[in-house]
Amino acid sequence: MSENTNNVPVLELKNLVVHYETQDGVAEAVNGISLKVNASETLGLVGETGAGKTTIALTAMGLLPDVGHVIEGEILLDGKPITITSRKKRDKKHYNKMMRAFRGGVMGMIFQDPMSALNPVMYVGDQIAEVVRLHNSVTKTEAKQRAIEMMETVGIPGARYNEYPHQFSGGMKQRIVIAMALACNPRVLLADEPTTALDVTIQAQVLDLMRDLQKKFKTATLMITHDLGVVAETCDSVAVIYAGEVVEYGTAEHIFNNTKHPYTMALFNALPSLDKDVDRLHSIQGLVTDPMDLPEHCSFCERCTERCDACSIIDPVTTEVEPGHLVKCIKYMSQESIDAMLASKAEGKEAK
Amino acid sequence: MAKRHTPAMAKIAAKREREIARNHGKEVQSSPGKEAWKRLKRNRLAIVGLVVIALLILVAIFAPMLAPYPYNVMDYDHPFEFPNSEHWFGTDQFGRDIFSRVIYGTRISIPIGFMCVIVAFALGGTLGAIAAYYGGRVDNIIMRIMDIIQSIPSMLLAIAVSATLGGGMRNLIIAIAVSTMPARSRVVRASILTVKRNDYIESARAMGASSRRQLLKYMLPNAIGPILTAITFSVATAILTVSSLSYIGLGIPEPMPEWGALLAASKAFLNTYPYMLIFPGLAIMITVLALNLFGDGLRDALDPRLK
Repeated sequence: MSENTNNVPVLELKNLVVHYETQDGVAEAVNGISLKVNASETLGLVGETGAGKTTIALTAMGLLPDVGHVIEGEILLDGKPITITSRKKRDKKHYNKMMRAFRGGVMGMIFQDPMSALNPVMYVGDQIAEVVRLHNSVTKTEAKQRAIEMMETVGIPGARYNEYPHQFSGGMKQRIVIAMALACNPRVLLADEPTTALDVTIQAQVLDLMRDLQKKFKTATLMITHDLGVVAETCDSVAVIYAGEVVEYGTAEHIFNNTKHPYTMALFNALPSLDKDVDRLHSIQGLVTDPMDLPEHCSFCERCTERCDACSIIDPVTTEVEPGHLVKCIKYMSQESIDAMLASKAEGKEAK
Repeated sequence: MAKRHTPAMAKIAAKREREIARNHGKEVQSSPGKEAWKRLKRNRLAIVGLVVIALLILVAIFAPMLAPYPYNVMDYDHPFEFPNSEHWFGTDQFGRDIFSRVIYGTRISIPIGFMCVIVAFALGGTLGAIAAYYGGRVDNIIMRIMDIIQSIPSMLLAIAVSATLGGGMRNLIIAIAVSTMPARSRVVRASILTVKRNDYIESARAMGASSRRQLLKYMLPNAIGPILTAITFSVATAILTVSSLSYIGLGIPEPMPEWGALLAASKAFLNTYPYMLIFPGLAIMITVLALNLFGDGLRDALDPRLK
C-alpha cells in the first residue's frame, strides 16, 4: 500500500455543495462542507437525521440518486477528484464507469442495516468472493481463499462460507458486510451508521472489530453516526453537521472536553448520564431546519438557547477557537467582524 | 468458543460443529430453494398436481408404447363404438381409438404449452427486466409497446398469425407467445421493481457490480418466486389457448389428435355419442387443473407471507 508521504489526505471534501432537485423544490442537503481524512484515521460525522451525513457518503461513492447533484466543490481521493458537477449524459456515463472501478475496490462502504444489505439467495462467502473478483484479476479459488481469510479476520469461521445470510445473526451479518467492504484493502471506508441496527453488546464488538481492522489495513474511515458514544469510542476527529454545514470540527478531545458550539452542547445534554438523577432527558427544541427552505442567517438560531440578536441576521463564519478546533458560531467571532457583517447586510437590504 | 454449561448444550454445540465441518465446501441444507421445496412438500394438493404433470410428461414421452392403437389408422368396421374393453375410450366416426388419440394428444399440448411459455417469458421477461432496471424513458417505451400488443385481443392476434403464417406447431407457438408476451413482461417487471428497492441492490452497486451483474445475480434470483408461479399458471393458459385455436380449426391440423381438435370433431355427435367429447375434455381439464394446483402450491411455498 502506498504510504502518505506527501501529506495528501486520502479523502478530502472541498467546499462540497449537494442539492436534491425534487418536484417539490430544491433540498439543499450539503452546503459547503470541507473535511479531510488521513490514512489510518477515523473522522466521525455526527448529526441528526436529515443533516446530510448520508448524502456525503453517497456523493463520495457516486451513488447519489438521479435527483441529487453536486452543485459546487469536489471530493478528492488521494488528490484526484471523484465527483462531477457536469450533467451531460456522456460525462455521467464516463464518470459512472470510473466510479464502478472504485466502488468496493479503493472505497468500501458499510451500510446501516446488515439484515437487508446482503443478497438473500447467495452464499455469504460467495458475496465476499465476488467483490474480490470484481476488483482483482484472480481465479475463483483465489477469490474464495481470500473470502475465507476475510471471514476469519472478522471472526466468522471460514467453514460457514456456504451459508446463506438468514443463517447468521445481525451482528454476524454486519461482520460479513465489514468483510465485504474491506476485502479489497480499500483506501477509504465509508461506514454509514454501522451499529445503529445492532443491539448494544454487539455494537461494542463490531466497533472493536472495525477499529482493529482499520489499524491493520491503514484505512481512512468516515464514520457516519448520530451516536456520540460510537464517536467517543472510534473517532480521531469529529465533524458535527447541522443542516448540511459543519458547525464544529476538531479532534475527539476538542469536541468532548472543550465543547464550544451550542448545538454540540445540546447534543451532549441530550445524552443520559449515569451520575445525575434526572426524570426526563433534555431535548433540543424544535425540528431540524427544512433543507428546502434554509435561512440566510444561522440555521440553528431558532433552536439555540444562546442566541443573540445578530444570530437571526447574519450567517456566522467558521472561527478557529484553538489550533485544529473550528466552530461556526457568532459567540466565537470577533466583535469587529460581526459588526462588519451586520453593516454589509444592512447595506444589502438598503440596496434592495 | 462458546461456554458449555450443561451436557445438553455441549451436545448441541458439538452437533453444530459437526454440521459445520460436514458442510465445509458443500451445499448447506437450507438454501431458499430447499426451504421452498420443504413447504411445497407439505401441500398435498400441489404434490398431486406435480405428480399428474410428471405423469402427463411421461405419457407424452412414451406415447407409442402406451397407446394400444396408432392414432391415425382408421378402422371402418368399428366406428362409433362406446367405451369397451377393446377401446377404453371408444372409437370415433372413422373407427380410430380415442384412448390412443388422447394419449398422443399429450405429445402436442404439453410441449406446445411449455414452449409457448418459454418463448413468451424469454421475450417478454427480458424486455420487462430491462424496463424495470433502467426505468424512465426505456421503461416507458418498452411498456407502451407492450400496451399496444396487449390492446389487440390475444385470440384475434393468434388467429391472425396462424391465418397468415399457416397452422402447425411452430406458428402456433409464435402466435401464442407474442400475444401473451405483454402480460409476461409485466410480471417480470413488477417483481424486479419490488426487488430493486432492497438494500442489497445498493450494496451491490457500492461494491462496483455492473448493471448486468446486478440484474442477473442480484435482482432476478430474488424475483424468481412470482415469476415461477406465473410460468406455471401460464402453461395452463397456453394449453387452453392451443385447444381453443384447434377447436376453431386454426391450430394443429388433422389427423394430429390435438385435444381441442378432438372436441371440435366430436361436437357433431354430441347428442348420440357423448363419450367422444368427454374424454378429450377431461384430458384438458385434468392437465389444466394439475398445473393450477401446482402453481397455487408453488406460490404459497415461494412466498409464505401471502398465505
